[in-house]
Amino acid sequence: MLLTANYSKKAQFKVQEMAFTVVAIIIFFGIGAVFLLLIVSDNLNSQVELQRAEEAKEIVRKIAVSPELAFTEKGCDSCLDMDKALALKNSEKYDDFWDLEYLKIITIYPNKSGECTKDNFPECQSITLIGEDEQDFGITQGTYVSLCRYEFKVLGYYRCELGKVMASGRNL
Amino acid sequence: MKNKKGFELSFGWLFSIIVGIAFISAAIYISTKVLDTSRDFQSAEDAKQIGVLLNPLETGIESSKSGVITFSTNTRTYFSCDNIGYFGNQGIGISSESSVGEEWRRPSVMSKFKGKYIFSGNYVEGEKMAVFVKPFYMPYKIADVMYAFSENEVFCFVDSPNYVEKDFSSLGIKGINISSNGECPRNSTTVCFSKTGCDIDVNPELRTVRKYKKTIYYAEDDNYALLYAAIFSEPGMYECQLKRLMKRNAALADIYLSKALSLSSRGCNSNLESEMVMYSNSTSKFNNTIEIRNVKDMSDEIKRRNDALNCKLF
Repeated sequence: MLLTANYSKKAQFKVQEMAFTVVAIIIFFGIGAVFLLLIVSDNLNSQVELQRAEEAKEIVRKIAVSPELAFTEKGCDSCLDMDKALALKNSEKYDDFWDLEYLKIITIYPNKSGECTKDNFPECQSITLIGEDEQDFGITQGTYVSLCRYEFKVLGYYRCELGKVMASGRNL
Repeated sequence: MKNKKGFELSFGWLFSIIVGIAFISAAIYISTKVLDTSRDFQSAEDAKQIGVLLNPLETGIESSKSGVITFSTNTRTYFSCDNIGYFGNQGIGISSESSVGEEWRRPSVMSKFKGKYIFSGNYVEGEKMAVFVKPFYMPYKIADVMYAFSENEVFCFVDSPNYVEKDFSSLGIKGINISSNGECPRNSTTVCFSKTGCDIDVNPELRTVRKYKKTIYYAEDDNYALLYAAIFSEPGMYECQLKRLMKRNAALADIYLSKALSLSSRGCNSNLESEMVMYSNSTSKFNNTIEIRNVKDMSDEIKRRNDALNCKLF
């Protein structure tokens, strides 16, 4: 026995019409959501970049008084201890301590060259504590400091040179 | 006989109602989620901002600093502490009072800071948060420790020693009441130094602080940083932060050991190498607040020997 169903053509047309409308509305809202997401993510990126720069600026400003780098013998507020900096360079513990992607100490005067190691210290120009020079770190902040160390010739004395600390915040 | 025909609903109506309900439900769900995400994002951003705002309070050669952080609405600032990794983490989270959804939504993400040590309760509530900072030396500077509490709170110090009175009068913090006759404002947290039975009992001879029925130990450092830490923080928070400070102390001892070796190769022998190794080992294994007494003894000995050196380590 053959069974047949008699559907109303008008009802079928209405269902199709409704389905197309629903799909069109979904596509419309979808496109709107994509645009909204693009605007929000762009806004988020610029805020993150600003936060990174602000944080790096604060860290650079305070780095000379951080116990790991401060030159404490003479109570100097913006003096860095180069002996401690060299020790810090070889310490893995501090790789992500400051939330920085790049941190470097450079001697500006007197003129010197080369990265410092235990063998060539203090006759060297820079100590890179975090990151490598070749990479792109975005906005880099810097501040001028005195780089101090103990010198021993006939009598011991403290010697300070002009230097700069450069830093860049960590990317998210 | 009842009419059984009832109300006839056409297919078009039925379809529209079902799709309409689905759309409205989806819209409500999505907008709630977007609202929650935006609150989480705002809270994470605010917490990061608090961390940045606290940076200028860190001390250089000063012995203490204080400040007030003002929020635009009633805010809860959550603080957490963990000992994960080499230095552990200070967590800061922000939650603003809201009339939509949960009144206080606990921050889902805490901003983490490795170099900050905030001694407080688990959260501070109010439009204004008082913060004061003291450098912590043992024997060299280890870190700046911060103390945070709501400006709505009142701490009443009864029979406090001179150094406590001097500290708070120079810092000028609202919410700290020094009482010499034992009378304190109602609803204040009483801190007693010469008697027991107060909210916080300090025993300066034994160097203990009793709070929430728990006894914690402190050491008398140059700036009394640990005494204030024990008073202003929740005991669990104090223990965790002290362990973090000792981890940092151990890392600094390693740096000073390297410096001692470097100086000795350049003609200045400090003979402090073995002490620094022992000090580093002892502080890295720090596990209970009572051990601070032993650390303090070792620190005093290192300080005494360093002070006698020509080329000082610190």
